[in-house]
Amino acid sequence: MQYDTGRSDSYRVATVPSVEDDNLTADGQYRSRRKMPPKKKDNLDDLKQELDIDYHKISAEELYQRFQTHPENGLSHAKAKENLERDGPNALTPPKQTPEWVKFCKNLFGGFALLLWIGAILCFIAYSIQASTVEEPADDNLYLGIVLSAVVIVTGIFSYYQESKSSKIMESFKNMVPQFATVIREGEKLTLRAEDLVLGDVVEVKFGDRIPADIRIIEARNFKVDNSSLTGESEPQSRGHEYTHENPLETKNLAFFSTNAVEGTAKGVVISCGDRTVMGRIAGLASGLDTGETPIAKEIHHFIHLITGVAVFLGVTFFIIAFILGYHWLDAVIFLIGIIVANVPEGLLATVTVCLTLTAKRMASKNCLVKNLEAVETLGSTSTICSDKTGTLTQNRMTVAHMWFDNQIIEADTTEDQSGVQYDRTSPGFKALSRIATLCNRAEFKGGQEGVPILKKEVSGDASEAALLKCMELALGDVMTIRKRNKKICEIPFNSTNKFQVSIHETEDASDPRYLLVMKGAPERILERSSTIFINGKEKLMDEEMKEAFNNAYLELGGLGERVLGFCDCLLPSDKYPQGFKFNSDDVNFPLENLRFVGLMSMIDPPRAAVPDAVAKCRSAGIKVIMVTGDHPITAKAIAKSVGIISEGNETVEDIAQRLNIPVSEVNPREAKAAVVHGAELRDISSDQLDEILRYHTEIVFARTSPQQKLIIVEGCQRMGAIVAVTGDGVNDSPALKKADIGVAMGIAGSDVSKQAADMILLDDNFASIVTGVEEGRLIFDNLKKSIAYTLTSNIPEISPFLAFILCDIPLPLGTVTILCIDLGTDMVPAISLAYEHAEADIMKRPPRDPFNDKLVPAISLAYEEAESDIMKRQPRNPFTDKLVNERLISMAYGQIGMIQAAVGFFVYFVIMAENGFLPVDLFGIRKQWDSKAVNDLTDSYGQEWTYRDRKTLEFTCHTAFFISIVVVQWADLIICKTRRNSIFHQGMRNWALNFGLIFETILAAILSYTPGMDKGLRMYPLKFVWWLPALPFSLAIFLYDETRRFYLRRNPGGWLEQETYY
Amino acid sequence: MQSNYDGAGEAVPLKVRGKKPKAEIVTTTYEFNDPYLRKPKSKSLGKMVYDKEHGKILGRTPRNWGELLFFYTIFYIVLAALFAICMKGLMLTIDKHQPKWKLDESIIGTNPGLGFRPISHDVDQGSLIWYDSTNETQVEYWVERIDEFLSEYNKTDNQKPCNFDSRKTAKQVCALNLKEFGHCSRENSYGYGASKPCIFLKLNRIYGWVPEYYNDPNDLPKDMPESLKTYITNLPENQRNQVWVTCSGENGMDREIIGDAVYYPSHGFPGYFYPYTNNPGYVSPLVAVQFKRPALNRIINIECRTWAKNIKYSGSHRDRMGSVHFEIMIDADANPDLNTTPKPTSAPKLSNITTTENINLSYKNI
Repeated sequence: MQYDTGRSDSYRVATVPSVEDDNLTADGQYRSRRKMPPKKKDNLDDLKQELDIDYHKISAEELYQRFQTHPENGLSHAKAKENLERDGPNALTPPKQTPEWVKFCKNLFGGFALLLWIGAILCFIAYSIQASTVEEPADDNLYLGIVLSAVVIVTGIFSYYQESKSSKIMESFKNMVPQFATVIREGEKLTLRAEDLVLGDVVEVKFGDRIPADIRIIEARNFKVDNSSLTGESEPQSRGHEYTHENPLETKNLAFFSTNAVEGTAKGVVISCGDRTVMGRIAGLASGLDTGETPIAKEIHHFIHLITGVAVFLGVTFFIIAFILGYHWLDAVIFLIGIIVANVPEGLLATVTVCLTLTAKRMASKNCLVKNLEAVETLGSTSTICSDKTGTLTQNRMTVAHMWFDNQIIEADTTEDQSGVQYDRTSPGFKALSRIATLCNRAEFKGGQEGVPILKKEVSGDASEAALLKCMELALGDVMTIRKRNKKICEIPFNSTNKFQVSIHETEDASDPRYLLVMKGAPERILERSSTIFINGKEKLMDEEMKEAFNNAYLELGGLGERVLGFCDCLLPSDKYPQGFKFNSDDVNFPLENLRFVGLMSMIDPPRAAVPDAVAKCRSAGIKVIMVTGDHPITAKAIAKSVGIISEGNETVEDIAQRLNIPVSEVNPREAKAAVVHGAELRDISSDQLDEILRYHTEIVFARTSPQQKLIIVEGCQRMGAIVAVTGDGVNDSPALKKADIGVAMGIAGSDVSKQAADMILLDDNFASIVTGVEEGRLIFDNLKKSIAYTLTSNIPEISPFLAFILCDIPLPLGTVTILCIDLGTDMVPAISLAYEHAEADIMKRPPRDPFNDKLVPAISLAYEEAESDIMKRQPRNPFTDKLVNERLISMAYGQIGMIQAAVGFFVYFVIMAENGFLPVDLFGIRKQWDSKAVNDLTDSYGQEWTYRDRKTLEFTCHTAFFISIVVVQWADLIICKTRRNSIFHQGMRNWALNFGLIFETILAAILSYTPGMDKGLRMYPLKFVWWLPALPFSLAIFLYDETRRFYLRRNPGGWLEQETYY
Repeated sequence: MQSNYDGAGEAVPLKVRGKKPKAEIVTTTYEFNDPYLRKPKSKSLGKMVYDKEHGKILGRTPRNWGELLFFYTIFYIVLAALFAICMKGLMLTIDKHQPKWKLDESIIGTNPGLGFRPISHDVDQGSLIWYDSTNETQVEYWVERIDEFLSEYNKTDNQKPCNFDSRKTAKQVCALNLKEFGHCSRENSYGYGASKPCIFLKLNRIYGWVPEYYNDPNDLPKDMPESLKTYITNLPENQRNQVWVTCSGENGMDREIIGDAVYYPSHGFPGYFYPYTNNPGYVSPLVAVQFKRPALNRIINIECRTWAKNIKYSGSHRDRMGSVHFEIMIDADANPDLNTTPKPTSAPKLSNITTTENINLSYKNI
């Protein structure tokens, strides 16, 4: 055991018989240096636990003892040094950063790209097999391999560039850290860097400082802190040395790292620093959490599995068939590889990326900045939104909402732009009330804000007084002038014992020499001190009826969650208090009783204007909206009611109990649709009970939640299978923002930390943008389906020539290069243009959806037909059953439309062959001779003899024609893919990107065919114009077939056709 | 004074002056049993294949399968019908006798290539003629190939012997007299047994193609071999309308070892066979080239090309025009009588080997 100095603690430990020497210091740290403290790899679970400390509970002496510190002298330098070496600096340790190249590799090899890489490798293998066995191998496979690699690399670079979000969460936390701190060591005051603080240091903080570590307050003078980064509430909390609450976040004698001191001064002992502070734990959580796979990534993986399954199945089947037909095993392997590769839609990766990018740009133009491409779709799949209250749903600005005077509750205008109903300002009751509110007020507008609207001006003073000031400025006009006219003589400022504030003024009425005493404060205190009441212009005695009226008003306003203040005044009689009277605030020489009660004013942080509408839209879109806040339950409930999270008529368990006059425990919880859950309750319940709450209440408010609890709630929702969006603006929201499937941060009011943790930022703080996000997300999901259906369809006409080649021994109808021209050339622009497709308008009623029946497709009930899109009236998709690519899509693309396209291709092939001399019957079986260089005189149906060169030209002309026919039928395919349910005549051809795509596709095809030199490079030959025509009847057939199918689909919703073919 | 209890003792909300009625927020909350969507229970593989409970095989009931198969059957039948109709339409536009597109309109173009016989049955053998001249079976193999090829020249239904001066009608076809091929005859085994193989060359048929001849001794291309030029000059004028053909080794090395070549019956394809118009019984004119003394036991690459004003020539392997390429390799044992199992039939054959062959063998040994 090593002791560096003659430690007094060892004496203490020795003399306290009950405490064994366990080589730990009193607060749990290792004492001996030989045992290094285990490398801090805080289990995330550990971080998710609530803070479990007792430093606030123990007595001050024990505190000093534990830390071996002294309130006047602080730590000794040696002890400080030892602590510093033992615990490390008081700073947040950055988490392990994934190096850039790892991120790049992830982009290069993730998901789709991996499939393409495997394809490329297979191609190279096939080519090397051919190169080693045949003298002059066809270099098709080499080209294919190279092209596939190029596609993957280019797309990987593109998405890496798009997503160069380096997660700077930790950096943003660092910005919250103060630089310097005032520390007392060995009796001297020093100014140290905040990093050098250690456990047990005695620090001094004053207003304007950031608290440099978690401290326990030992002395305080009017000390107030702003805990908004921890609780989300920016209302200053007063702090002192008393232990008031078991919860460390609530107790008065603790102040936390990186919160702001807004008033007064204090002295405290550092109880934890660096990563172990509350802030450090939040930071650790937020940066350590794994965000998980986005829903669209899951869908793409599912899609890849499906495609791979089909590819492998086809490949192996034909491998076996090739064997049976007598092909050499090497050839069979090459076929296997070829089929697997042909199944891979090369262009789809780029298409999906571009579609998402386009949507992201569209959302950015609507002030929704999306940091992660995949997050674009997540909002569309969201089924639950967990929203923070302050600053997100509310304006984060106290505003006077109601007043009570003349025995009436008057509603004040709380809208941001004063567009609400104005109240009557002429009554004497109002005049009296407003005079008090104006004068008994220490808040002032800050200078230099001449052009700024009143409600946006900055005010120095506390929030309530600021609210009163703004209200009075709006009602009366220039407050400062009024104050000048009513000069303040004396005042007693607000203190928490008296709970009132009073001041004495000269009235502006020159004729009246009396002084005016004005008082405001807690309503019940004001009432106590009032003997009369001013009603309807007359002063009346305060009687029981009046008191009851007052009580009812107070209850009602308080029940609205508002903060209520009472106002009273008194004109001091001039005989007792003549002009020049020396008022004394310390030794009070004026009356504080028997005053005239004037009225009440109540204030609240009102909701943002766009929020109620947005919440309603979200709910009608089937999304559950939950409020999760650090504020009081009553305020939270009131705001929830006013924005629509708790709808009219829905009651919580407590409401029912109150209504029926029974205790809460007797209420059947199932009857209550709404619930308000206190953070303290959350601490005690198990995850099953949390699940129950989440499952059985449709409207939930969580109040007084800590950052850890917010995270737990999000996890609970996710455990139930929901896809969760979290909106927030503060540091305390950051773990939840990170964990959510999509985190949405406020752009203007949000802290850096929340913006870093989030996936999407609302640049104008407009909650309604979430509705936009949901709409766009759902739309892009639908449009991606269409894109994929379109692209996959051409797979069948691409694979089937190869299969026919193997099975029927005919010359190859479609070559590799032409396949690439389709997948990477002509199909890409139309596929991407489908991303611009408008949402389909629903024109029919559909039955409601049964969520457990896999086969029945999601459908909703519309009570009215409207021309607008139905996309926001649907349920959110069920992520387990509503897949991006399902069997129905494959069945449509591969089994139906793809087959028609293959038929076209083969028809054109036969046309060209026949017209040039090879009648269809004569094509079967000549494959070997056709491909042999040795045979220079292959006979056709007319006796003509074809050289190798000429018949290869014929074959490549067939490839070109096959390619062009695919382009022609893809016109029809594109048009039918525009809509999944509606007729094209209803949807219209207003998607100009798509129209452009059609034209571009055709022109590209023509260029590829007719440009001289294409025959050398790509082996594409010019076609006779008549050879464009054979594809047209099939194109028409596709169009008619699908229109008919959709017609029946609309006629028989829920019928067999829909079950089997509606994707 | 207002009381906030009405006469019936029910609480009445206090009148609030100036209170704007809240906008009706219509929230159609969907009441469902389970607002959260549970993951469907994952089934075991066995259950996925056959689910007794619901009577599902591979995820569908038999009835469902039936419906699905019925749908697809109808679908494919209709598709096949559409395809058949289109094919029928195609065949209606196709003439039985002549191709729809001819010459330059067609991809076959106007540049006929050359074909050679014998060519192996096995396409993988390529264009290699490889045999052991002492091996009866192998020689027989190649002889049979040529016999097969020449068999149609023996049918003489529609044929009449043509010559340069006679005119033939459109329906008639010219005959070919196999007797005119000198040493390249059946009796000689076409020279294969004697290591003097005959290769028959024919010009590819193109419907309606007519050659433009090099028939003016003063207007012959520079790269034409001298022997051919001499030959043309020495021909009477009316016999000069032929599509000339020459064979030589492909590379310098091959040219050295190939030895001499003799052409039967003439150095080219007579012009009276053209144009080809798909008359029944038409036979292509042949030129048999016999290599008198090719080097043995080595692969010799041979290229034969044609000479006509409207035949473009390219010897490139990828883009061959107006020519043909093949290889020959004739194996001959150095000591034919030792160490081999005596073949009764081979003995008389050995005596057929002329002394020149022995000399050749001894050349090889040097």
